[in-house]
Amino acid sequence: MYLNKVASHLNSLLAAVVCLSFFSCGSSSSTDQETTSQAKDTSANSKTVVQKEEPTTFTLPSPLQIASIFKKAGLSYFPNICNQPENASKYSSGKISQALNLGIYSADLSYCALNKQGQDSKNYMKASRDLASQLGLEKVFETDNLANRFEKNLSNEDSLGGIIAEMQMQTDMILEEHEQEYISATVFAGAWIESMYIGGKVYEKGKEKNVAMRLVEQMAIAGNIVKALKASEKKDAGITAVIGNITSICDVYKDFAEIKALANTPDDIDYNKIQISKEELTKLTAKIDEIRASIVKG
Amino acid sequence: MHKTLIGLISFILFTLCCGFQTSDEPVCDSKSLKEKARKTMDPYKYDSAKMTKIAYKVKESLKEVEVPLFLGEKYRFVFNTETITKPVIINVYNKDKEARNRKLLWTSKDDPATLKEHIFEHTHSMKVFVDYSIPPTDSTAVPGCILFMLGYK
Repeated sequence: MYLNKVASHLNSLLAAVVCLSFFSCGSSSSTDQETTSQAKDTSANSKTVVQKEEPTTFTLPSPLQIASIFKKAGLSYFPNICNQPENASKYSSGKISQALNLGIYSADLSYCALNKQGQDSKNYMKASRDLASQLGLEKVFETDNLANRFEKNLSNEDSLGGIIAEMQMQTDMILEEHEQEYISATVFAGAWIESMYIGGKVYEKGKEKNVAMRLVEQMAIAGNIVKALKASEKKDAGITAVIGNITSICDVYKDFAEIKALANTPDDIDYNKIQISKEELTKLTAKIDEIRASIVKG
Repeated sequence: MHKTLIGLISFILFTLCCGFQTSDEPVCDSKSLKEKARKTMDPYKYDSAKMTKIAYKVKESLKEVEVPLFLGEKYRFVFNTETITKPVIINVYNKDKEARNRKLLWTSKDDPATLKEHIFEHTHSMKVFVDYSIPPTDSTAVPGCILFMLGYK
């Protein structure tokens, strides 16, 4: 009786081993088959083997770099341009709305930090942290004591810049780890819209020529934002609307006289020389205002 | 008692089988590669990073990454190639692979074969294209990854 039981268990074990062996070899054997088939095709007629070209991939810059570029162009600080930090509690539903507004606050935080606005930076840090937590990114602020280091360096613009860059890297890593790069692209879309909004508002106040040039230069990456979002459009139904918004900004830009004239050679545009009229810039900033308003209202 | 023993043996066998399973997916620790690249980035600030999977094929192949830049900014490009098993040449161009008159801005071709971290510094461009030229190799070659990190100042 006892021997029968042992034999029965051994049979089960043997069956399990056979199944596992089959399973474990299955994957490599299928790979081998593919390899062999590929090799046969090649040796049979190497001219017929066409290496399918992979599409070009791309990177997106950080919100901090965009803020830094505007700052170097003479973008001065005006209080109350940014989205109010208290609004963070309004964005409690929908990942896309949260991601867009996290991007908006990231741009606001960078704008304040680079302009040595300690208290405002602290407020935007809190708003960013609140929204980031809702997106599962709380860990970013705990890594290397980043949140505490931020508070201790409020009066040091260089250190704050370094800490914000570090947060960006941690955010990218966490989102990549969880295969949520679409959140990354959406956060960047929000940050880009806010940076353009701030640039437009400051330009209206001071008519700084360099700021205007930088606003136009930023349009060069709008296409990449659209590509990044389109690559993950199926992940969330809300992404389609974001693509529509960025595309509508692009449409205004494409209608500029000089841009139309250079439509066939967009890579040859020299942003230092391009002439954009005040009316054209007004149209661009008005479109950005409209889209930004729809995002921050929640 | 015997049930427990059999369960234990099954578990060990299963773990071993899984461990020996082959896969076309490269095992690349993105986090560790990024930490290493970041150390090379100083005094530049982190801007973005891109991990590209390198799979070897019987024909030469190319992977391209478009990198938007801004006028007047100074950039450092760091490429970590420690996980690739066959040498890949990294070329940086001013235009994409379809352009006829593109200019080569930098290449890793002359870097020592043992070098696992390649650095390129650049300014005065709106965008550049990073091309990974993957040599023709027996397709059983183990795939790997190249980690590219961009910094600015």
